[in-house]
Amino acid sequence: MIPQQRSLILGALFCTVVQAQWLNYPAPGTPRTRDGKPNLAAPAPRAADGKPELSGVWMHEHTSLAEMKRLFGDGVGAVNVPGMEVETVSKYAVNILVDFKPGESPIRPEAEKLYRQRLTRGDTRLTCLPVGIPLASLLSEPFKIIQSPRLTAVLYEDSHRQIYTDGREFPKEFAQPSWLGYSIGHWERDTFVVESAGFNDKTWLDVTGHPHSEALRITERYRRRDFGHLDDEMTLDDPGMYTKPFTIKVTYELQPASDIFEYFCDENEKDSAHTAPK
Amino acid sequence: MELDYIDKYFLSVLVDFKPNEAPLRPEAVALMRQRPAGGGPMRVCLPAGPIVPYIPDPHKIVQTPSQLVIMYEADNSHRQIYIDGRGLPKEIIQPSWQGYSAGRWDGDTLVVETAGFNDKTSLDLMGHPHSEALRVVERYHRRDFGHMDVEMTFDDPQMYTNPFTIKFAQDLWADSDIFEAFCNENEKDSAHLVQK
Repeated sequence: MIPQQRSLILGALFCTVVQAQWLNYPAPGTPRTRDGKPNLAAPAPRAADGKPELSGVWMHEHTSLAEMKRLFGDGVGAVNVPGMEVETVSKYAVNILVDFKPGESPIRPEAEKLYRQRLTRGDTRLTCLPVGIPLASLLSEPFKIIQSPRLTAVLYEDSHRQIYTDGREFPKEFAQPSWLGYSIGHWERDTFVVESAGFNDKTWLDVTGHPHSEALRITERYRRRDFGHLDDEMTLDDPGMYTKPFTIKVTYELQPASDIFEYFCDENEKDSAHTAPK
Repeated sequence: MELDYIDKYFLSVLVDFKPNEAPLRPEAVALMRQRPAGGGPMRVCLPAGPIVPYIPDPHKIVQTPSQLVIMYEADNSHRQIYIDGRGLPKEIIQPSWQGYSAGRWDGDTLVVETAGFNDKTSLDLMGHPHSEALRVVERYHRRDFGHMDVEMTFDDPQMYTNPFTIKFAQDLWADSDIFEAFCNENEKDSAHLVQK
């Protein structure tokens, strides 16, 4: 597919959304520089139980427009929705396999076939269904982590995910695969390791349609480098669709004095009348 | 969703009032006549708004020193309650489905004030309306391990002549969890409805 076509599809995929923010609320406990600004290079804080504190509002580091054009062609960003410009999404949201050279991609023929079928369709957001993991934290909206000793909640503007840290293992069997999967986490020194499984196969790994099966397993390794930066190394393993596991690295930046807003897709849903039946 | 699983207030938030003693203003009655009963926005996969504490679905609370998150099954939605000492914003620029909630501890009772709702939701299946001026005070008291007593006071001078209070209890579902329920996965109602 030529980049120009791809960018039109991309543009179409960015469903319009009304973004708004609460009033700026300077959170207590934020380290500040002399001029009163949040000191994002200060050491990462620790929770009451001594573990690094990951709670906060996070947004992936933006890829510059120049870099997005280098990766995906000059046509990328031809259709931009304010607040959802192409440089506000991660390069991995466009193509989860972007790091692979042509010919070295681990995609299996079955997956390639599905991917090609999907290029002319919209993803689950067109019918107000969730985008799933990992895409939910790679698009234009921030997400929020709320860490408590036995459970960490990850809030997206339109959904949430639970990460159990109470020592449980995965269930032996996932009777009902789900959109957000089932996640368990544990600490390896200062790294929060989250394993997820039990996904349904309906979500896409990126907005262009790289597929996954119900066998997908994701391992995320979160490390809060300093007050303002959270490094996430994410390994995706889906032997039915990809010849080997692959890893993407994303850094999230803290959004101090900000918050996530609510987003209910059905409030102004106009796509489904123009797309194929659900 | 059998009937005996549904809280009486979910059917009518004014069920405790005798006929003719309900504090409804004529404006509210007029709105009820215009709106079809039976769930309003919830029928088309939109949220329940201020009445989430008594909708017939379990929810899960995650508590930290600075905030609570309440997670719902419906569309994996969630509500944040700030308990870090902030009050409500002086002005709420954009009314929202779930409003803005700030809480504080009064002894062992968590008192949550919420404002900033939009006026699209109703307070029950009967369709008792509210305006953007609605303010809700919730008082949560965990009586024992398995029971949470909840008191909710609704104050909406545009629609009701007096604030009114309902009381109900929530049971802990031990050894259980919430699951996902994405309404749009099998949404069949909107094609048969006149309006959103």
